[in-house]
Amino acid sequence: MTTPAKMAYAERKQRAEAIYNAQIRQHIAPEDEDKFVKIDVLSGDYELDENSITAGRRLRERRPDAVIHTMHHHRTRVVKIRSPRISGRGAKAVQ
Amino acid sequence: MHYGVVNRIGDLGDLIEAEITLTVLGNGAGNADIPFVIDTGFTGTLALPIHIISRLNLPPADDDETEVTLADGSAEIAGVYIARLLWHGRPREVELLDLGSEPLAGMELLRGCNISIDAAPGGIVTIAELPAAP
Repeated sequence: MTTPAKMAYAERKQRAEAIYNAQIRQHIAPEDEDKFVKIDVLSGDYELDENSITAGRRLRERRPDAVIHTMHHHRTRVVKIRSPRISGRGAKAVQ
Repeated sequence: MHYGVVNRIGDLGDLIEAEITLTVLGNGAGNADIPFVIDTGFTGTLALPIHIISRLNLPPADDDETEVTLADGSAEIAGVYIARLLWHGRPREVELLDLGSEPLAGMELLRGCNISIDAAPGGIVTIAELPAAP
């Protein structure tokens, strides 16, 4: 088994958003809008599931070398942390 | 049903926080009972410091980084790992974030539950499953 390629987060995100807007968005049915969208930014292949882990596994099974990015119809970012407990310690700045 | 406790934060005067201890199943590295502070401003499932993630040998998720919005509105990148834990007596697989210096439990963990906090030192925290939606 090969090791999936490593890609900088900013590039992965940019590619995923371009693929999503050009090829995927129009195929998301209303009943699927709450599902996570896992996109292989190398092939453009994708998987939908309410469970983020399940969607990622299915895509990885089909595309062992995938570089995967997660998107969601209703969310621009998957996670919000409003707690001042976390103020960036342990996190890297977005490029 | 899960039970937790409201703790007084030792050296910070009369401040309190609600805590729940969860059993995180290690990936061939033994299990760990970890106290998580309940943080309803955190929309994710769990956040753990990297040294605990390393100790439990948790594997990275298929997409191993995600973007998060912090309290001050800034955007940062956090590592994403997969963990199994015992939740209402059953194994549950969750994505957790490598972020911060203390374990946090967020709203995605609590989705589908009723949470009750007796918000005084020593108070009881209960987390019960909501009846399944019809």
